[in-house]
Amino acid sequence: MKRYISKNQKRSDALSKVTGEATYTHDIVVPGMLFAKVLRSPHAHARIRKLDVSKAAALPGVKAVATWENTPRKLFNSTGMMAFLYPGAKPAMDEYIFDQMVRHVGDEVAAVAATSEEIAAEAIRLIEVEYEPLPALLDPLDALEEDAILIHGDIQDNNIASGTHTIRQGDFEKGWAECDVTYEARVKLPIQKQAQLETHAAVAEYRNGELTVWSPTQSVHGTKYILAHIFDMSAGNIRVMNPPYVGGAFGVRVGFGGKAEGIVSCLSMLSGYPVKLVLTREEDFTVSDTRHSGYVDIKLGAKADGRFHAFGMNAYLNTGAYGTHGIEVAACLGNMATSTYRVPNIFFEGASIYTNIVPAGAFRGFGNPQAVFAVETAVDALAKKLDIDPVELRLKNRIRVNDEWPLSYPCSSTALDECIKQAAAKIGWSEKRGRAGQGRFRRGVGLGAGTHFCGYDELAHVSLELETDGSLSVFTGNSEIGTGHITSLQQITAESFGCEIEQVNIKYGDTRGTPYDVGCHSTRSVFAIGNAISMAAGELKEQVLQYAAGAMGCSAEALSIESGRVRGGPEEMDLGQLARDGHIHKTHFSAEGKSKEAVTVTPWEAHAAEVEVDTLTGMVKVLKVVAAHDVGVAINPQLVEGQIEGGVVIGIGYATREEMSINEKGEVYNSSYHTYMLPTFADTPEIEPVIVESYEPRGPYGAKGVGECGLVPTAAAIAAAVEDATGVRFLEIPLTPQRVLDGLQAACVTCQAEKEGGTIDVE
Amino acid sequence: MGEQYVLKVNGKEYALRTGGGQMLADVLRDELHLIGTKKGCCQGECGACTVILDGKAVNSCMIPVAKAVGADILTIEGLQTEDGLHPLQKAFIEEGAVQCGFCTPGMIMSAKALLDEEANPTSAQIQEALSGNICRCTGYVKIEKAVQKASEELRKEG
Amino acid sequence: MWNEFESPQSVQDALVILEKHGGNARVMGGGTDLLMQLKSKRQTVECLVSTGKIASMKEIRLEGEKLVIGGAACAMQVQKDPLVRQYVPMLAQACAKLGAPQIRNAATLAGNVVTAKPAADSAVALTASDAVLEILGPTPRSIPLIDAYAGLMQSAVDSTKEMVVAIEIPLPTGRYGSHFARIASRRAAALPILNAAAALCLDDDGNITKSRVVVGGVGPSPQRLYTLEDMLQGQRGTIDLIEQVCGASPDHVHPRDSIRSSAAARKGLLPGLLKKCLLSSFEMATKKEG
Repeated sequence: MKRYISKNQKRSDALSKVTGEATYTHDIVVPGMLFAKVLRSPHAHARIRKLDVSKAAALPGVKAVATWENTPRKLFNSTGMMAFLYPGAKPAMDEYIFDQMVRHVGDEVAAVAATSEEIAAEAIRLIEVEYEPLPALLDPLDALEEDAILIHGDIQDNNIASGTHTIRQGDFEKGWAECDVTYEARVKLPIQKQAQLETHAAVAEYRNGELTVWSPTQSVHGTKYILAHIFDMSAGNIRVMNPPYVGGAFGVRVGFGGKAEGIVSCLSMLSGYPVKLVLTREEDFTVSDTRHSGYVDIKLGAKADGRFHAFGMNAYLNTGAYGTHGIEVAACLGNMATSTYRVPNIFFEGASIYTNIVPAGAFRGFGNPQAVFAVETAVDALAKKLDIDPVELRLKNRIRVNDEWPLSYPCSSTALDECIKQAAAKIGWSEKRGRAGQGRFRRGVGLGAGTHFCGYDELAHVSLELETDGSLSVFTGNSEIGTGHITSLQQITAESFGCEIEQVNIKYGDTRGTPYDVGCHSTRSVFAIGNAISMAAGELKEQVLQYAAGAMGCSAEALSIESGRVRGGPEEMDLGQLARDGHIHKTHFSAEGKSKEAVTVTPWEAHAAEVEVDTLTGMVKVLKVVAAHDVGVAINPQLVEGQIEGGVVIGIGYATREEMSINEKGEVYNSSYHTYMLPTFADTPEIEPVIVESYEPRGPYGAKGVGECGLVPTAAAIAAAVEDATGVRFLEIPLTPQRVLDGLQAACVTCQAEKEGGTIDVE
Repeated sequence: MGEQYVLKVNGKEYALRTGGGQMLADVLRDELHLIGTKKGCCQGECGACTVILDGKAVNSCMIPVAKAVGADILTIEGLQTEDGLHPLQKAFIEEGAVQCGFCTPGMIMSAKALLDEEANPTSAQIQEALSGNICRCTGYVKIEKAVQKASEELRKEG
Repeated sequence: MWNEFESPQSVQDALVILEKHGGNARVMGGGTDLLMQLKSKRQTVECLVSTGKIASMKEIRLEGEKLVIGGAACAMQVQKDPLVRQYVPMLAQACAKLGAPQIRNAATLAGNVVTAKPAADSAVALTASDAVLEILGPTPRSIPLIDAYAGLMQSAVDSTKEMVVAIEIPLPTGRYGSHFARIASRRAAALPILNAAAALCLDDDGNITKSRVVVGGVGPSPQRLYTLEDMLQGQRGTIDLIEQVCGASPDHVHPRDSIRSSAAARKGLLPGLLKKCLLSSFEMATKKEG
């Protein structure tokens, strides 16, 4: 029986957050601090012909104006991808802090640092810019045309960010021809926005040759590397810190957020003062990374007995004006699309394509929600054609441990079958499926299944130190972005070492004093850092016991650490006393936990949704979602539930309401919480999280991860439920009243045609 | 403006002198260093800046500070007493209703305003009372549980 | 955004301040819309004149045959007021949908009307209740709600010179029912795709002696559908009649396409929405005794 594993330990930061004491980047005040504002392009694509900042610079209170002329001309990628990327891929290095070209509405043109925000805002209005507008591309398919204008023509001769990701297994063409039933379709995905509560912000102070930056970044070390690269500074002279809390992230700031860190660093260097930039909510909505929208073409074929036999997919993702995570998202989409089900013959090609809209980057799921929407649509279509229950078809074809699949790592644990069964049972699959009726309000249930990965071939590195009072300090370069995993890591530490959890302090979110870590993203932190911690804790324990054995003249094998004391010898030793004795006489107690090899493991999930569709208004009301997740082992079940519930609500938004609308000029319509329809408190349905445990042998105490998984199959489940309710399978989300009404009207024709026979693919 | 005025916040009176055009949220944060009240949008749309003004939950980012003169203002910092945390604060911790925490102070203040008026709220009443507080992390589920739990506690306390 | 902020304690004092600033001051209720406008247009007014401390303007009371809602009464107050719920339930329903609770605790009903949003929920309900704005200033006057909009996002009230001190609603007589409904993308903090308010009066024999049908989201201001009202007037109130009239409604509105909804979709949604309002009004009225 573990003392701290599988326990609902209360979050160590909760007290600070409920009392209002918690500090975020928005709250940072540094003496002498200036305030920054950014001038942004009104054009989707233009060359800057003339830029005159003299009036702005002359305004009393203005201490610095930054433009392309006085900032480093060093190409970078604003995400931590610059610092870490899976082998074989190259990051898109296509951003400058400021450039002579602007490539989307809102692209940065210049920035001002002044003694107040009002003065900075006024200075921005005094900057004179002459633009030469250029033709703008808004759709990725247009950007692939032969004669399309090049958005990064100065560095490459096409509009694909980094390259195309390809997957091949078996022989797709041959396999496709051998299938007894096939389905093909194109799905269209919208732009979704993270809309985290704390807008991007950063504070920078350049002094004494050192650059200090406070930021809500998810990757302090990644950000540090980007800054070192841009400013040609020695990385060791840069310190990046979370203050320590981050007001949500969801992938929007794995590295820079809205380029704030780079901009304030420039302004601090130019002015000689610390500088703070806080993006307005409108800026956060309209200029910072979004989820990739785009088109996914899917082909899925099976044998008459229901075995999947051929899978083909092309993904055209709209990555916007800058590549950021582009190639990674395309790769993740392909990898995830091909690793839920056994299929011997696979073809995948996917790319992130430049257009002149706000850049797309990382958002919880990272290509997986897009993949699953396409795949599950196809699976349900085949189920219909084969007349096999959709649940049964998934159970039949799901990947099992060590199955052949196209990924570079094996499937080492899965309880997806259990997830699917529990989700279906708890939504009332057999009682509710196919009972929509013909009335105005029609109900239906649907299921979606998927996977993800806990980090990708990543390493983790932590250091542990026994303090002179016997407490244990853990140093990690990871960040607490709200998930609470820091508390789970405390639990792992206390369990591995054998001390009271109150004796464990995790120090995170600061590049100074912590080893390199890629940051909190990719559903990796509990898995990777947890592994590194238990490795280090084991080693530290060994040091302590050896020392105690020597001090007491007994064998170390007889000794153990329990509740902060060494037990089993001639006397008990208090850890604090031991540490102080050791420090004076013999040794210091510290250990490194460094992964010996890069490991990737797979969490799994299945969501079942019940909806009610009002065929008169087109309103899709989600009544209930059952979200069953194989997380390996839940170190802290309450935190895992929180991740699932939060993910599901974002997934419901993705499926039913959220989309960023961009007009023909490239302007974003949804620039506020009242124009972007994410779910409010009053919109939440019943959500039932179900934790399924499969025990991952390579995870800390069997744990994998859950962070991104909570929204991966939700949209697919909801679309499936809407099909059960109305007979219409929507290939485009979100299912807004407008879209649903149009689809239901069109379906009156297709439904009739289906009655007359023939195969119709609902479009 | 440069005029002197008095704000009553969390039971204390503060003499302040400030220029025109300031919103209550800015004065609370920048002058009184009560940073618990967060600015998530500065448009009165997200509820992160919610404080209780004369018993009513309002978005402090859209209240000119002069409008708050003479009123009783309660912020998150004023919730706990010498006896300890308010049942809402305790319940938020216990029920796992806190994730990134940026929405938390405003959320708790809206919940307080609700419980002050309705001691035994239904699920629908909780959802409606908090419908002006956006949370992107929790999906609202555990927040609702926390408010229910706090209302039970408060009814026990009598 | 503003240089001075005044909180006069009487209507007279407020008017004196407005006059003193000669058009450079502005009446402010809750400020929820006004401050956003000033911010986004980067405008500064010399003086904001808040109605928040004028006690008489915060009252909701009966005065003879009228329900009088003070110009400084906030939406939450109106939503909860027993007199409003009794006599003009559709207004309480409309106010309950305004934004979110924090907004309702600040935003005034009068302010909501003066902001002149085309589909302001309260304005739709007020139009259907024959509400009249009582305006004081250089030209004191009363204007019915239907005349409160001077154009798209333009009020007939000039808030630099005058103020809406009260909104007066004639008390319905006889067997009366009213209902407000809206369709929006989510349950809080969303502008409506379409909204409507309806009211019916029946005589003892069940004939419709008066009807009001008002729709928002189909024009620059709440639209009263006079043709539908004529179709109802004097007829025996039945469910069939109501369904017939609602079915005819799309021909009598001319919405535009907008990002929230297409014109065609709005027309498609209208009969159902009106049915909800009229059937609920009818049900309420038939339950009442003459």
